[in-house]
Amino acid sequence: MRKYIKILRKQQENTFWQTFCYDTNKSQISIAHVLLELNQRSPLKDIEGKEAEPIQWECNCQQGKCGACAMLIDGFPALACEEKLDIHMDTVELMPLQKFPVVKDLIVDRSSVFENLKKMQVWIKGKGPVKQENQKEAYCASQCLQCGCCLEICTSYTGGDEFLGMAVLAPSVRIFSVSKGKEKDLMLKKYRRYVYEGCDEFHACDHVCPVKLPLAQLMAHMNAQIKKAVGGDRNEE
Amino acid sequence: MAAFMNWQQKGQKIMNETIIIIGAGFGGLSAALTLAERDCKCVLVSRQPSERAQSVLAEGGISGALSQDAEDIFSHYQDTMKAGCDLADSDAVRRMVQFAPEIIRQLKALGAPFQMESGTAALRKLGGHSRARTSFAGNSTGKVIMTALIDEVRKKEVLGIVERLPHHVFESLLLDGENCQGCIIRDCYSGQKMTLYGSVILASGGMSGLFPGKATGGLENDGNVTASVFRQGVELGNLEFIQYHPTAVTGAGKKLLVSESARSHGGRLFIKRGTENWYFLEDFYGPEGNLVTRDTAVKKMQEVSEREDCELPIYLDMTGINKKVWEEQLFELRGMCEKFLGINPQKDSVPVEPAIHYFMGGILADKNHRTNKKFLYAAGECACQYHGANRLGGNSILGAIYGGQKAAETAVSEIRQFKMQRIEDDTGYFSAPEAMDKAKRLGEILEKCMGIMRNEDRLRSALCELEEWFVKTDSWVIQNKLLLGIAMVKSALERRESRGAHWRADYPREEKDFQRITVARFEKGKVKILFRKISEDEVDVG
Repeated sequence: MRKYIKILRKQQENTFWQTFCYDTNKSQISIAHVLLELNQRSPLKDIEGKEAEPIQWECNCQQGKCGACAMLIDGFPALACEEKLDIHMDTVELMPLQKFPVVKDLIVDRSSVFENLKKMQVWIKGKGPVKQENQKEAYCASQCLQCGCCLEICTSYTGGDEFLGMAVLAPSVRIFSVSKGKEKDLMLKKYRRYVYEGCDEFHACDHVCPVKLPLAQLMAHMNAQIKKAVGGDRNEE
Repeated sequence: MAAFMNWQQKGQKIMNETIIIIGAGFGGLSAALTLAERDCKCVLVSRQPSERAQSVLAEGGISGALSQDAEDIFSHYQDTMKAGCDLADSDAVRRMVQFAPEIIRQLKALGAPFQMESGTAALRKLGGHSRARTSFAGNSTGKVIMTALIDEVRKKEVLGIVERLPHHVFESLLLDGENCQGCIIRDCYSGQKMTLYGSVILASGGMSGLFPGKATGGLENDGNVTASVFRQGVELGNLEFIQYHPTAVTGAGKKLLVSESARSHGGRLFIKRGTENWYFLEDFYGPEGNLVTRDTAVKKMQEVSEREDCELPIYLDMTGINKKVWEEQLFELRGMCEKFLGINPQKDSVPVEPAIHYFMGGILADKNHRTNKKFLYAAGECACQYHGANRLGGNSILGAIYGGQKAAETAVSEIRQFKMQRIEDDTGYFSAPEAMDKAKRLGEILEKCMGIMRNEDRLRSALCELEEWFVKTDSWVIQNKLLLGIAMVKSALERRESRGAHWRADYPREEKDFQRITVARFEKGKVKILFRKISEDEVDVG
């Protein structure tokens, strides 16, 4: 099988496409595998025979658990370690995620994701523990990789301060599931302001989450809490 | 930017009474939270954010006698010491296992959703444990604990007590004689170097980077921190004790782990012998044979794979595990096998092989996590403490979190005002990333001699190769790695016995005289190996 790996590269201030030829007879090869092998070539040459710098990209676990290797693969956000090469056409396009500042090649600065979690105050004010009935929810919500795939595909998220996207949803649900009283209310208010009011409910995020978090379901759960709270307020009035 | 830090010109950062933590996995986060509880400010330096740390890969669970019953705690102590072949510091282990239930309680209080059964904690029995005492959350125990710790650290970040410096790597220590004054780090994004002043806690993980493609650890765990500080005179211990995990599979650029929880819930290892599937561990060790310690399982795997009547590969048969367990506890393991191997383990056995999984040795730390340099501490997998010659399943997360706490407590008790002037970095280099082909070559040399079974000839030949290469290369980073490799091989050479994970074909017995810590030291341009009694006097062996 011969594939052409076309990569949008950024070195210093130059952005350019560079294509590499990759031959393999193995199936089940991941895009991460391809990148590792290309970088082991010494020297690395592109299809025009020009020597190229090693491709800069982030990775660590290679099994879909750390979220480091998120990138655009043929236009869709995915983890390079999970995406198989053979499902793609002869030329596979790799680009850095576009909603974050590009540092170099396929590396982007995702610090805004972590800043957003601070803004949402994603931490437990008191002390847990998780009740048994909330355990599954908390477990599921603990799985978010903060990889940024959901933000990349999102039609509403633009990197601004108002709508923070689904990367804050799952962590907020975890906190909500162990909070009580006023803390719960505060988290709900923040959820309403930073997630609920900005989401266009297109739910593309549901289809790209590498750990398959049931984002629409988690949202529905939080939305139901909002309705309950609003209902409660009305009763009080 | 936190108010307690003052930026000065030339990339210098001046801090008072601030502690620098290198690494943001279990050990680093645990240290940061302990410091924060004591109102001590810290800087958390890591190449990637905590969400990407190797700690998220931990699967099996965290061990601790939840009953808090003295006999139960003692049993945990005995199992840990026995697995470690009495090479761990018994006092340190005793303290760790005594504190284990409290650590699990703390993690629950942070909202870590450990699995429950009928209102009580569900427990697993992992290999080498005499009873079920490992708390878990599916096969994502590491991930859920990390999430809980990260959220808690975020609270401290907002309060200005913790400052994170992600995408930064450690370059070298600032040493003033025997005192550590801080360290130099580099921003991976900008390339800019920065000098940090303060006590330093190293929590930088294991050394899987010495074995590219052969270990289950994350690709970012390159061992550079350990290699760098070794060259600067920090003592390392027990480098020859490398844990091979019995059940790994080949992934992209590294090995993937099939968690021990599979065997905990009924997974069985077999090899083809003629027409039969031979469940050899059960034949050798009885019905619970699949749950022997990892070193024992791996040695037996090696033995049967060399037999003429047996045919590789060895398989892990998980087909007998009941559906409920798959649905409630092992669904992620099934997902991993399907996604990365194309095998449904409920229906078909998975071909497995041993792979490097954990380094019991590393930066030598005392029971309070001090190194041989003042104001420098080590915790987590980068440190040599608690696990002796072989680590028990479920003791890795425990050792890292407990170690982080102890290191932080000691660092706070010894905190001092650092001088405000810049101390020149005596190494004076700017490290470039090593070429992957060189890392691979080093890995191949080490793998040949540091495999499951070792012998003098292979070790000597590898040592010659490494020493010759060291003389020829002028790359600082490669030289550091070579020195670490040389120290590892020399440690294995000098330990003329078999104990735990160190199996010498030419010295097959465990020897009482070697119930000592192997100490590697770099002094006067040479790697020296000493043996130190666990009570800390030493014998020089050259």
